[in-house]
Amino acid sequence: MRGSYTFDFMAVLRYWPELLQGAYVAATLIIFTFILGTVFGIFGAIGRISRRRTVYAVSTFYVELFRNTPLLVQMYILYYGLDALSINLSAFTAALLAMSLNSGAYETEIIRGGIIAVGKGQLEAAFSLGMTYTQTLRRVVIPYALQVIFPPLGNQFIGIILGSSVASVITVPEITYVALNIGSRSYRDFETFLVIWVIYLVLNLILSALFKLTGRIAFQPIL
Amino acid sequence: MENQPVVIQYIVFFAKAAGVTLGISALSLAVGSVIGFGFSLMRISKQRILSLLTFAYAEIFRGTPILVQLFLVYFGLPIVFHINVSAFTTVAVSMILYTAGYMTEIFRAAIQAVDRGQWDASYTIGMTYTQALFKVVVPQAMRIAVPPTLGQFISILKDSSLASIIGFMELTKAGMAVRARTSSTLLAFTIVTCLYFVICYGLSIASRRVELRLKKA
Repeated sequence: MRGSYTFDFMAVLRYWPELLQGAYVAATLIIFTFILGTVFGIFGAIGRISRRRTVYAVSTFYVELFRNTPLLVQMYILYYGLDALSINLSAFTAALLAMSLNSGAYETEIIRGGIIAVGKGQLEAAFSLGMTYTQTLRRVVIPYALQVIFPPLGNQFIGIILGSSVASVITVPEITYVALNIGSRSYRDFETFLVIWVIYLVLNLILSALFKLTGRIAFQPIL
Repeated sequence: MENQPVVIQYIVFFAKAAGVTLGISALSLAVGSVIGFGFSLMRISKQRILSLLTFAYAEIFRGTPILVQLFLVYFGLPIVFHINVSAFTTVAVSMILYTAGYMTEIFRAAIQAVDRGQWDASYTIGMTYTQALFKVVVPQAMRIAVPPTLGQFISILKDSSLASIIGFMELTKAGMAVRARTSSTLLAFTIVTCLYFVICYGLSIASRRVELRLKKA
């Protein structure tokens, strides 16, 4: 039997409309996760630099809890755990919420790093040059913070894409879920996964190149 | 709440499962580091082909979801090597390959973070490339690599939860099993979450301490 396996990619590729539909679901999940995660991240970062003890403690607990437990378990809790409390979230909503909270914890630290990077000295320098508060914010604080935040935020976006495959486990019909489905119907699991493996890889390589380019053009070092 | 005592009885079961999670993660880190170290040396070598191949390896394994890699090994091993493999082998193989990709980049970054002057100084006193690399640069690079390696260990511990999907009995699978038997979903998942948190948070505190000590030195 050795060497008898013949690859048949056509058996997989004829399911392309389903793969496309899966890609659409994945894209929706990824983009909304990034938006929601950034909102959580902004609030988290404000909390993490707050002088109020409770606010600081709550946001720190949030960050540490979500960064030190698996995304899969977070999804299980929001999907099966809340279900046990008679709170029924759809698979998509549970995945979106888990992924956003998870990403938000990482984004909290990224955004906090950006805010801290803008030193007090830079504000003082801007004010002593006669800039108004708005000018300082627009010309010094935001450009510099964005310059610090942009590269890790790009990595985080790719992290969200990689993590989105986990949503398949709680039956969200994104690419990995569709692949399992096609695989079991065509008996071509290996080929199906080779196909989506390449899809993920190409997508991530293109995006990371785009992020690098954008970073170089729009957020070049100003200091 | 009548299910609670039943779950308490499962404490030993959970402790063992947490041990499996730690074990498979430590194994992946150990073997993945050895491969990653070898690859990082190829990555920085002047042999274009070696450098390109290891670069591609790191990009491929860091640019695709670990879950997809796990399924590739799961479906692929029996086809390519004509063997029936256990869940343990599937998980170990895919996690080692994945970890090796990240460790390649960690070691490469650490080696390149060593000051250029260290190479120049080594050559000045008559060392060859190999001598300079192993006697001067690598020892310093290893210290630089400690914090990111600990960070990688935390990632592996969390990613190992995906092994539960192909039926490997580790911590997350243990939670699912107890949930199925006792129907106290929240309690089972809370215990699982707490165990992951204690292990990973403990490691992240250790990592921060090591980083501070390395900065002082």
